[in-house]
Amino acid sequence: MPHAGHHAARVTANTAADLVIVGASLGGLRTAEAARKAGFEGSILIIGDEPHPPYNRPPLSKSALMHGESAESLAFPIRDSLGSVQWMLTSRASSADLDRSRVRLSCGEEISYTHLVIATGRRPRRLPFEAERSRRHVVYTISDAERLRASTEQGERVVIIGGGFIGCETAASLTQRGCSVTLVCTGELPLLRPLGRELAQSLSDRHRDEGVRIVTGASVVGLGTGSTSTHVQLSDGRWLEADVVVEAVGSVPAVEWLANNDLVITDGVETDNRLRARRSSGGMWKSVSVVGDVARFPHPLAPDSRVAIPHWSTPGDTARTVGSTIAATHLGSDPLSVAPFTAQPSFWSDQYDLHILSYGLPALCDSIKVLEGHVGSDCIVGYFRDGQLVGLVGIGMRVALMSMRNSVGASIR
Amino acid sequence: MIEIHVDMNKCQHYGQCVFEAPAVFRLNDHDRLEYTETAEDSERDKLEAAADVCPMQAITLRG
Repeated sequence: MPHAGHHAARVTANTAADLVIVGASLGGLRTAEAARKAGFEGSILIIGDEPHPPYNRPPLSKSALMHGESAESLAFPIRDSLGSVQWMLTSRASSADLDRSRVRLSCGEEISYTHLVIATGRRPRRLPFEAERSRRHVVYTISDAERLRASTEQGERVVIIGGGFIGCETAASLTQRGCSVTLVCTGELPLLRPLGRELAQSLSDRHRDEGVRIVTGASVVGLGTGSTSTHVQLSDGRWLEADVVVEAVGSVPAVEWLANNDLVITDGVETDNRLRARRSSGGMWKSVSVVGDVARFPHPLAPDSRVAIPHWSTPGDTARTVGSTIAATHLGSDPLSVAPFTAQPSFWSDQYDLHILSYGLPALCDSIKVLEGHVGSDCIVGYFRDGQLVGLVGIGMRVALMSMRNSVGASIR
Repeated sequence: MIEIHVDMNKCQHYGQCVFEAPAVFRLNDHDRLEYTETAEDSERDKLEAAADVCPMQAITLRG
C-alpha cells in the first residue's frame, strides 16, 4: 500500500523506470493496473503532486462538503495484483524532454523512462482577479473540500460562480448545509449547455425550491476584498456580498510541464485512437500515451474533431486502452493490435435526492426529445445530432435507461 | 470463492456494475441494485472491473 511517506524512498539522481506515469490520481492508478493485467512486468513509477495516494474526487462536491470526508475515507483500494509500484507523492513534474525520454521534477530530480503516461488531468480555471484568496475557493482536491467545509459552518453567504455540474452540486450541498447560496451563471440557465432547456429548467426550479438564489445572464467582472466580506461585481451592474466565493468556472488541462516538446496541445494533449500522443511534426509518439481528461482523442461519437471528456469514467476507460498498448509495445507486439478506443462516455450527478445518469455525449446534440416519462419527475431524455442518438440523460428509470445505452451512436460505431 | 459486499448507504443504483458483472449484479423492477454475495474465482476479473467502475466506490471484494 502506498502512503504519503513512500515518496521518501530515496530516489537518487537519474532514476529510471520502464513505465513512468505522471499523475497519481484515478487515471494513473488505473493505467498501472491495466498494464499489469495486460502482462506488463517492467518497473512502474507513479509521480503525483498531492500528498495522498489516489482517492475518489466526485464526493468532494457532495458528501465531503455535507458530511466530511478524508483522503483515507475516499482512497481507492490498491490490489495485490498491482504488484510492485514505486510512488513519488508530493512531487511535481516541472518539465519533460520527450526526445531524451526524461521527466524533470520541481526538486531537480531527473527521471528517465521507456514508456511515459501523461495523466496530469485538469485543474480549475481561476477568475483573473487580484482579490486576495482567503475567501475564494475551488473544489478540486480533498484539501479544497476540507477548507470549504470549514468555511461554511455557520450559515455563511456563499456566492458560487459557474452554472456547471460542480457549481450546481456545490450549491445543493451548501444550501443543505444551511448556507445562503447564490449561484451566478453566464447563460440563461445553469446546466443549459450539457442538458438542454427542459431538464436544465427543471433542475433550476428544484434549486430555487431548495432556497438557492440563481442569477442568470451575468458574468463576474470584479472581486473586491472588504474587511469582512468579498464584493462580487456582476456585468449587469449589480454586486453581491459574500462570506465565501466558490469559483466553478471550468477547467484547464495541466500541461505546462510538457511545454517545448513535439506535441499537439490544444484543450488537452492530442492523441490517436490508441491514446498515443501526436507529434506536431507528424505521426505519433510510440513511447508516450495520455489517459483521462488531459487527453484529447478521436471518438466515434464526434467524427469531425477530437474531444476531451472531463467525466469520471474517462480515466478508467482510457487506461484500459493505454495499459494494453504499453504492454503490447513492451512485449514487442504491434500496439495497433490493441482495439481502438471507443468506450461509451458516461457521467452522473447527485443534487438533493435527484440522481442524474448520462451515456454518450449529449452536448453534441442539435435536437432533444423526451423519450420516457415526464421532465420534472422520472424521465429519460434523448439527444440527437443529424437524427442520430448521441446521448441519453435519465433521472430515475434506470432499467429502461440501461436498455437504451447501446443504441447511443449505434449506427456510427 | 470471492465474497461481495455493497455498502447500500453509498450505492445510488447507477447500475454500472451490472454491465461489467451481470452474473452477480442486477437492477430489479424498482431500479434497486440486487447482487449475489459470493462468486467463483473465475468471476474475479469481471468483479474487479465492476468494483472499479462503481461511481460511489461502494463495492468491496474479499477473498
